[in-house]
Amino acid sequence: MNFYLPIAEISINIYLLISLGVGIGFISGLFGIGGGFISSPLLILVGIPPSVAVGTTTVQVFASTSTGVISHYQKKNIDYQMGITLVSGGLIGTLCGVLLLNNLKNIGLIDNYLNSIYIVLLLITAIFILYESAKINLIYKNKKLKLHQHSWIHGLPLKFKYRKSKLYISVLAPLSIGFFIGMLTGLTGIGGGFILIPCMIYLLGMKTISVIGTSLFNITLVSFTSLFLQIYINQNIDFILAIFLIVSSSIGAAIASRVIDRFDQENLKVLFGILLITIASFLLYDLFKTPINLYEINYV
Amino acid sequence: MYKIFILLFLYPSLAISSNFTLDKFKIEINSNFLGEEIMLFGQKNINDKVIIIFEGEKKNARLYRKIKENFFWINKTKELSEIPSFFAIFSSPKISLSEIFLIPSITKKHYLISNYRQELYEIRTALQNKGLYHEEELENVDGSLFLKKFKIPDNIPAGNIAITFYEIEEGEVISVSKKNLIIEKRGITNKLELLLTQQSFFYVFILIIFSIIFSLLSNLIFRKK
Repeated sequence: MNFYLPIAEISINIYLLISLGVGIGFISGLFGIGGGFISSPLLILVGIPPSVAVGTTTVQVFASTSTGVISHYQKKNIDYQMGITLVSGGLIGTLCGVLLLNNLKNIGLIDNYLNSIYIVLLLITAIFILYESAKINLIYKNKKLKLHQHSWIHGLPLKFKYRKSKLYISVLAPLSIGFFIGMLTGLTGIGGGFILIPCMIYLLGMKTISVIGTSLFNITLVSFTSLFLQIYINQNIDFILAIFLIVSSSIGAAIASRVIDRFDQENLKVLFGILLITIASFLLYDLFKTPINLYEINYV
Repeated sequence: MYKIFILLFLYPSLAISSNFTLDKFKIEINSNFLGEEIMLFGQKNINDKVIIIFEGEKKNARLYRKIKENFFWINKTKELSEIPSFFAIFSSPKISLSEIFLIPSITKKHYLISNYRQELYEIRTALQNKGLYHEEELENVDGSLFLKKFKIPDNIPAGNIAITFYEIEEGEVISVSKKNLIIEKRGITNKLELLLTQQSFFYVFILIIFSIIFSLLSNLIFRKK
């Protein structure tokens, strides 16, 4: 059974779409991630135009994080000072990312650049996760880990006191991190939580308790802005595709929440790292393999 | 069965003149649109040749040519204008493109088959890859009757497709007739596209409301208690 997607202008098998959404939701729920960086490349792999895949993933990211941010708001787990600093950098970054996406689309290099960005992101994250997992399992198994150490970041100027996180650091650090994540959101549609959270913990030295809430606060506001920019600049969000993804990924996430207790957390991390490397390998193969069609035409 | 239908339809005018028709002149793109099969049929004088050209609305387009650079395949882009959204040439008996190039009264009216240029070949190939270009022979039913079934793909842009019927005798066009095939978006497909292009703010607003509602609902229904 197929369904016509009005903005992507193709028909797609409805069962494939639902399976994809459930799968993305399941992986997100199992590994505690937003899933944007998996859904964008997977949508492209099943034939959704890259620009529409990026735009529509932004909606999915917004939907999945907005409900989370409400729950963290009620638990008072959000550091608003840090959140607003990150969002300020994020908004400028998003605008740059969306404009860059539009430019790449216009010059026809969107496929190559998006694939390359995804490959780099997926591999860096996979290596980081596997390294951390190995470190905990092999080196520091019986040692207490120090949460953060002072680095060059703590020596930057324009220092500001973030009361909730009990930090006295330069605003330039969260601004730059926000800018980088915002740019990724605009350019690739991902929320960037899988990069933002390690940055907040290891680079800024934030307390774990407020990291998740603040990260969700940042991602929700940045993806909200990105939604408007994508619509006005790129007109690339497919309503029907977005609704299918939101509903099916919620079901997948719910299934994951019921089975997650049966898995060992450290094994899950290793599994997640392997999954990221597998997706990156598929994308890498796509860049190398001889294309079936040498010519492609798109109407403007 | 359809051959009997064609014979019955065309029988009264068999001796009059060459002509053609379609089984439908309007295609609606709605939420369950998978493309549509069109049947083209008609009659011609036994000794004459016919060429029928379907040409969609002309739009600006970008042509991407894949080239290999340092092991990677990358796109080279070219901006184009006045490229038809659909193009098909049907002929009876089979007339090759190189033969059609020799009939100026046809080629000067259709840019895509106006000459041998490499760029035009690339555009035709790119359109063919998307199912938007056909170059086929009409099926001969009974000497003077012809028919052809072909598919309009699901990625067809909305708009009019002009159909031009050329009757050829000794390399010269002796008669021309024209008809239109209308492709239009209907229902929710049309409404969503209009909303996106004309009221973008409202489109985002509805999308945000829907995403929050669906997300909350899904959480309520499926989450572990």
